[in-house]
Amino acid sequence: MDNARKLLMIAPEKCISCGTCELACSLAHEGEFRPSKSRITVYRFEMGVTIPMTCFQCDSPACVAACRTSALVKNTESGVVTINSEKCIGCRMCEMACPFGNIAYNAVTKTPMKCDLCGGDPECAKYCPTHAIEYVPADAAVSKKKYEFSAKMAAAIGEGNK
Amino acid sequence: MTELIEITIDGRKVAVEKGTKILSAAKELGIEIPTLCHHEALPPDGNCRLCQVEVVERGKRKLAVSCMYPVRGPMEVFTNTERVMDARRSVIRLHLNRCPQATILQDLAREYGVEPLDERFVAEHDDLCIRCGRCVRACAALGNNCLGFAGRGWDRTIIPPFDEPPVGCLGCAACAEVCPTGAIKVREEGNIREIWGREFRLVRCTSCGEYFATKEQLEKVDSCGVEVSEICPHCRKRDEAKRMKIS
Amino acid sequence: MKLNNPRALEEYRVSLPPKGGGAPVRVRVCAGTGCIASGSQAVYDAFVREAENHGMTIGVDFAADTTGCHGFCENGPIVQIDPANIFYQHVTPDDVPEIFEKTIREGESVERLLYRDAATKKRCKSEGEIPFYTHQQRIVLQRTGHIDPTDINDYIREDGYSGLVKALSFSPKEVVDEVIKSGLRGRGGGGFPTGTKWESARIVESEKKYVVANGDEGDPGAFMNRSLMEGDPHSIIEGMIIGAWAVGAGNGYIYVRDEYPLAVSNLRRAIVEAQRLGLLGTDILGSGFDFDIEITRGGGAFVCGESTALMASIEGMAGVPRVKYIRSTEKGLWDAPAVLNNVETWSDIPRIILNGAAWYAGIGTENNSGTKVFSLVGKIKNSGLVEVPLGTPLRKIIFDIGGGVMNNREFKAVQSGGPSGGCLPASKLDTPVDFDHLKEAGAMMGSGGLIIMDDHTCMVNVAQYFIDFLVGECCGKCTPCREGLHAMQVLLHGLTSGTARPGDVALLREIAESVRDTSLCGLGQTSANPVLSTMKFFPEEYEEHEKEGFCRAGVCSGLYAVSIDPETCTGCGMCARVCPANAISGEKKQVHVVDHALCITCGSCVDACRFNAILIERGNSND
Repeated sequence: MDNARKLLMIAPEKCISCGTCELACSLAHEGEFRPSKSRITVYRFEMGVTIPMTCFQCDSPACVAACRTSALVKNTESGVVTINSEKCIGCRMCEMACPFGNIAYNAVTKTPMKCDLCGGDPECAKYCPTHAIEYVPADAAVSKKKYEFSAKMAAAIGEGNK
Repeated sequence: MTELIEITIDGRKVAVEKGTKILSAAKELGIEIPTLCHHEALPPDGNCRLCQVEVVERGKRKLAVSCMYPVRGPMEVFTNTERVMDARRSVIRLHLNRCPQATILQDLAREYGVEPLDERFVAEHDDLCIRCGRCVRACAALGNNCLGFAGRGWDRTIIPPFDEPPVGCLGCAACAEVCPTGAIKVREEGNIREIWGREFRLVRCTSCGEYFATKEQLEKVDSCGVEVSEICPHCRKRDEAKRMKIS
Repeated sequence: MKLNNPRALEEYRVSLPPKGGGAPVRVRVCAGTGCIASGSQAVYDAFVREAENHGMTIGVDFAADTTGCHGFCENGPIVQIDPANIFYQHVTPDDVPEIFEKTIREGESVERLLYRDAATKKRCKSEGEIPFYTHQQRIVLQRTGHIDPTDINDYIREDGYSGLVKALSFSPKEVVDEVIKSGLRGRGGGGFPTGTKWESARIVESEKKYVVANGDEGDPGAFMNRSLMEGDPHSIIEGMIIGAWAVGAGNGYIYVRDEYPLAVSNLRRAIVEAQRLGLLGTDILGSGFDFDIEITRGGGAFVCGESTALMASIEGMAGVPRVKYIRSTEKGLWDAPAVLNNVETWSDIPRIILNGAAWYAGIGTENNSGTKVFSLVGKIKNSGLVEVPLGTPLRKIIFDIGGGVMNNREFKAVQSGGPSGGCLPASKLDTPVDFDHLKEAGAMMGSGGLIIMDDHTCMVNVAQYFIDFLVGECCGKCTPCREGLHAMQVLLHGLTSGTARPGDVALLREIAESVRDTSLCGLGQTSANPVLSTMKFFPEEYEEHEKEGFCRAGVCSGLYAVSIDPETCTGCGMCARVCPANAISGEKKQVHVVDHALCITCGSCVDACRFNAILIERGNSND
């Protein structure tokens, strides 16, 4: 089953800061080109260093733990953390819970906004001109990279909390 | 394995699990039934009486509220007969008589061609609360139970305990979010958020200095076993990106 | 002492001393609420005191018991004397010495305390001679008025708990079948077949099941459940044990309104006594069957008589109904199967089991077997508690038993079934009183309240009275009942105050019909009945109120004028005496006249005149 799983692989070193992913995302989800409504955000630091940030689809997601109405669920098959916006009561617990700031609440549509991998065909990956964002099978190599990454991250968070 | 039952709604067939409510079954067919007190996240209550449909079951034809009527066996459902429309119209009119200013009711009245009752029946012109209790159920779903019904009959209202600023409230305003008529007011100015007569001091993001949540909200998240920081979601995301940059 | 098997109960029964401890004379003083209100406790005390004055030993030479309601509440306090079988009415403590001298010492009756039949002008010595009783058939009320409800031995002496013994020798299925065969239908008003209800609970598999008795009688003017709980609590308890055995319930609740303190205390005492004898608790009569009963006191909300609200209230929640698409016999109390029956239904059970289904099915009519208790109140001569076989015509209940309308005024309507019921006019007097015929006629059985109305009753005002009541009792959960009742109230007050607008009656009907069709619970769905039934039978009164601002009954203030009929006025002066505005004048024995400028149309004179000489006319009194 794990073979069927696919992940968003982000390679910041390939990112050219064009912001196409943000536009593609907001168009797909909100019907307009508006980076502020995008589920993915491109952070531009010093010249040439840009980081696209979006939901990691954590293995034990804080947002799911905080959600009292099961509007957020971790799909055990696909691994995606999905939102059923009809079940959302707008308490914003998920927004407060996510350690990475990857959920924002849209007060107008009364829906939390987070990456849903576009139901299996992510627009950001589709339109990224440099393949900095790729949607790839979660094979062993990717998993390894992911684990390395999370280990590093855990260490970083640990430090941050000290 | 759960038992599937085939029913007919407006002449179209759909197979649903036993116990499914008519409202959900209709939704599967894309048939829209208007609701007010219903919310997918909350236990149904069947109090607004708007989602009326006609059910023919075991030879009996009757009106039923679709949000709570379970599919138990073969049945035929009609969502747009004259009787159903009459029932919905009268319910809308009675709601409108309580809350003439509620836009959702005004829209329904237009859609269903409902003329409001005259002035004699309106008690308070600015009352927006239709007593559906979505707020009560939302607060209960969060485990806070800060709202409840008080009084009965015509005088039934929704208040925090003893109509005092609610002690267990988080200031999360989920009650206001689920309210179908916008009856619950939230005021936010500077570092103060006010709801149900209680003032909350907002927490300031230690990174950017923006006010972003109440202390109680963060504590509640903490109580769910999630470690929470006093950094706002925006800064968390940026900080995370920064960390990735370093790595 | 615990009775460990059925034989032990029989031995216990045989070992009991006779009623009144074997004293040669036994006085039964009615301690039903009606008689207590008219002073029966003092009468009882006077008997005890007088016996001591006569040097008698209570329980040896003389026995005095307080019993449950004798039913003839109009004439309380009621005292019956055994074994001479004498029925005294309106007894005061001052009468007691005379009763002692004449009746107890010499065996003669005190004439002036005997009931006098208005038709034959004859004094009736015993209960059996009084028309009020002779037309009744008392099964449920057989023991009330005869036994001391605070003494379980009195109940056991009269075959008490024999039905239970018989039921325990049956399988649960056999008990249910017997109840089905009896044709018993719910006495709370719904008329649902009791056995069928039991069967649907019996077949559900569940670790926990409950039986519940509904004693939350809330209809204005109704007191049959009250009298039953006060006067014969063990019959309800026995019925519940049998029902629990039949459906497999381990716990029972009796829901009694707290306004019935005597019912609460008598039931509580009965439960303790039954527990003491091992008739409640573990291993009942050695059968291995465990069952116990608790009392829940209701806070007096009318809506708590509705089954789902009642169960919510037992659970400790606010008494608010729930949507009931799943029967409570599947998911009732705490989501476990629960059989809820009215206390009268429970009380019917022991005798059905004891005497057999065929016996019960033979009483009443087809599909409506057995008897039903009614409380007969309003403008009726013999107010009280009446039990008749189902199918008895209204006319018989009202005129033969009830003695007809007070002050010999004209009968106008009978309100049956409480606020949720309906008003039937004179043309429906021959309707047989049973579940189906009453419904067909446009009213309902309800729990058994019958309110008699005379011609000085405005039907719009009656509807307004009941809607006012229901506005206060509506829980407010669902929209049609909460908003609709209020709208109906606005319209009715407009009609009765002369401020109605054209089209109001039609609007009232429209709202009433939609409240009936779209409300959540039984209370809401029937809450429009007072309006709809009065509209059906008295449409002209609604029309007159709306279009002419005229109240033909002379009730709605300002919507009529009064004058005095010179032909019938005897000049008794009664009207002038009661008039609060001094608007009536006239010499003694001369025809009186009304000064319209002063008259405030309060209607006092209409009520006061015993000769029907006050005429109701069109035109405002200020014209």
